Amino acid sequence: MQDTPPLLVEYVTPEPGTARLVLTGELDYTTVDEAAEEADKVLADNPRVIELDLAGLRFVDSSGIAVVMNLYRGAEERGAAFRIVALTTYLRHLLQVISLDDVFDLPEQASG
Amino acid sequence: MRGATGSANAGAARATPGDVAALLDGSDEGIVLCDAGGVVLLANAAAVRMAPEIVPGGPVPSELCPAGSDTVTYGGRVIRVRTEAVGDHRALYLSEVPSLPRRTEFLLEAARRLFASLHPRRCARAAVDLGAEFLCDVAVVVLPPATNRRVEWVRAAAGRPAPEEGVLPLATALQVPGLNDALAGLTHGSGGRQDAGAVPDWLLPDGFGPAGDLLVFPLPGNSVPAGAMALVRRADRPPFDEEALAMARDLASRAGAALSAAMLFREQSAINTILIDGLLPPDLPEVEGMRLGGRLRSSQQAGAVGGDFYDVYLPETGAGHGIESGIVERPPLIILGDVCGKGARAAVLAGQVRQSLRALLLLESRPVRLLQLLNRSLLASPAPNSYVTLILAALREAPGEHVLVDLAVAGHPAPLVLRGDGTVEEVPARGSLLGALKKTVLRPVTVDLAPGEVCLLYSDGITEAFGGPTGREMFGEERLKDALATCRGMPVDALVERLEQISSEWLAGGQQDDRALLAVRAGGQEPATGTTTGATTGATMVWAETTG
Repeated sequence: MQDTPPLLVEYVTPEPGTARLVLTGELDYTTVDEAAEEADKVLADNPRVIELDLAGLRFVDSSGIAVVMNLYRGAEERGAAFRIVALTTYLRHLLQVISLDDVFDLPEQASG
Repeated sequence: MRGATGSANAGAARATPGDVAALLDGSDEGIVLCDAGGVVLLANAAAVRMAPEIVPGGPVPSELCPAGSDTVTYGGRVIRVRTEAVGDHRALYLSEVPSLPRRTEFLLEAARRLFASLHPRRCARAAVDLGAEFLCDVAVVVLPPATNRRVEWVRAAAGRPAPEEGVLPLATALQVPGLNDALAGLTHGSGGRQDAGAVPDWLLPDGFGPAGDLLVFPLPGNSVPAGAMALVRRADRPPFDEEALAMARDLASRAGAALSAAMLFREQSAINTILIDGLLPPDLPEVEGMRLGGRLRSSQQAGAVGGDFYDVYLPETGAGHGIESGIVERPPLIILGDVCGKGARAAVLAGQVRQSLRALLLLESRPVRLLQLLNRSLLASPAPNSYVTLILAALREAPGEHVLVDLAVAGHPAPLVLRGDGTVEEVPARGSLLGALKKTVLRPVTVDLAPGEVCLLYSDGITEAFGGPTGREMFGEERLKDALATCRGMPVDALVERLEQISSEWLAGGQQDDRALLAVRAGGQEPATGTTTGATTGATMVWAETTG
C-alpha cells in the first residue's frame, strides 16, 4: 500500500544565503526525526533566509508543528528571515487554529 | 566377506535371494544398485526410507547421483552419497547426516521457549521446564531477592506436570550450597558443582529421595544477576557429564538473558505506567449547578501514548481565610490540552502543565493571564519541544441555572456549543500555542449556557481521525458539529460517549491518534435519557475581547 516513503525532506538552496526545506508526505510523530535533522542542518548553515515549502504535506501533527516552530525560533535567534513559501489549504487552516498564521510570513494564495 | 558367496565349497548351505534382501534391509545405510543407464535394479529399506521415490525399474533421482562421493540435500534430509562400481552396475551407499547435534537442538529449543514471554515468572518457568526435561530431575530458579529479604522460587521436576512456585525467607533459600554466591553472580565449586549431600529440604519436591548431584549457577543479567538456578540429579542417576555441564551453563546464560530482559521490561512498564498515570484524566467531580463529562482515549501505538489531557480544578477549600492566605477566590476551572509529541516525554510535559497550573491558580484566576504565565514558564523550560495547545475554561454559576464559561484558547481547536434548539456554534475564541512565542495573542470569549446547553472541548485527534468510506478522509469539524447537533437533550456522559463512538466508527479500525473530549452542561439536573430540553432559552454569546 505504501509505495512512496511517508515523508520526503529535501534541502535546497534556491539562491545564495537562502536555505529551503521542501517537505512532502506526512510530517508526524513517526517521521519527524528526519525533518528535525534537516532543520538542524539548515540552522547550522546560518542562512540569511530560511524557507519552508509545505505544498506537498498531506498531514501534520503536533510533533510536526514543533519542527516548524523550532525552525522559526532558531531563525529568530539568529536574526534570519523565516517564511513559508507554499502550503495547502489544510495547513493554512491548521496554522489559523493555532494562531500562527499572523506570526509566520505566509504566501497569499494556498497552492492546494 | 567371502562367506556370503563362498560357502559353495561346503555345498550344504547357500544364501537365498530372500536372505540377501533381509540382510540389505537390516542395514542402516541406504543401498541402491542401478545399471549404467541409472535405472534402479534394487533398493534396500533404508534407501526407500530416505528417498521414497526410489523404486526398482525407475530412475535414480538425479540429486542422488553426484559425480563421485558427496553430501547432498534431498527431500529436506542431508544425505552423504558414496558411489562404487559393482561389475557393470553402480552401487550408491546413502547415509543420513543427523540434522543437528543434541546441544544445538537444545539451545534452539531453549531460546524459543525462554524468549516466548516478557514476563519474569513465565521465563523462570520455561527455564526450569527446560532443565527438568533435558538435563536433570529437578530444576529450580531463584529470582533476585526483593527488598523485604524474601525470594521467589520456581521449580520443575521431571515427570511432574507443571512447575511449582513459592516464596521463602532469603536466609532459608541460602541453605542451598553456593546459592549466595550464585545470586551475587559468582560460580563456585568445580564449574558450578556443589555438595549434593547439603541440599536443604525445600529445594526438592516431596518424595524425591536423596540428591546425587547438584549444580548451582548464577543467571547472568545485564548488569546485575537475574537470579540463580539449581539443577539436581537423583542419587540413582549418573552425575552430570561434560556435555550436560556445558548444556547447563548454556541454559543458565540464556535464561539469565531472557529473565533480565523480562525484568527490565517489567520495570519500564511500571515506569511507563507511572508516567502515563500523569496523563490519565481525573475522575470528574460533582460541580454545583452543572454537569461534567469526559473521555480520553490514548493512541493504540505501543509505547507512544500521546499528549492529550484534561483536568478539573475545584476552588481551594482553604480560600477566603483572610488576606494572609493570599489565595484567590475563583470558580471551578477545566482545561483540555495537547502537548507536543508522544510517550514519556509528552507525559512529563503534560504533568508539568497540569502542576504548573495548579500552583498558578493559587495566585491568579483570570484565564488569559493564566495562559500568559504558563507560556512564560514553558518558554523558560530547557526541555526541547515544550509546545502545548490548551483550552482553559472558568465555570461561573449564574442565576436561573445558567453557567458562564470564560474561555481562553491557545493554539487549540475552538470549543463548540450545543444550544437548546439543537444548533451548534463554534466559539470564536483564539490564541497562539503556548511555549512558542514570547508575546501571545489571546482572544478570550465568555459563553452563556442556559440550562441543558453544552460547551464541548475536544482535541484534534477527533477531527483529524482518518477513516470514512475511503479510509483516507478526515472526520473534520463539520462532521463533529453535525454529530453534536444530534446530542440535544442527552445527559453529558452519554453525549461524550456518543461522540467518541461516532469518531471511532469513522476510524473503523484505522490507526487512531489520541482523542479527548470534555463537556460541561449547564444545570444541576441531568435530563432523563431520550427527552429534550426546552427549545427556547434565549441564550446569547457574550463577547469579552481582551488582548494579552
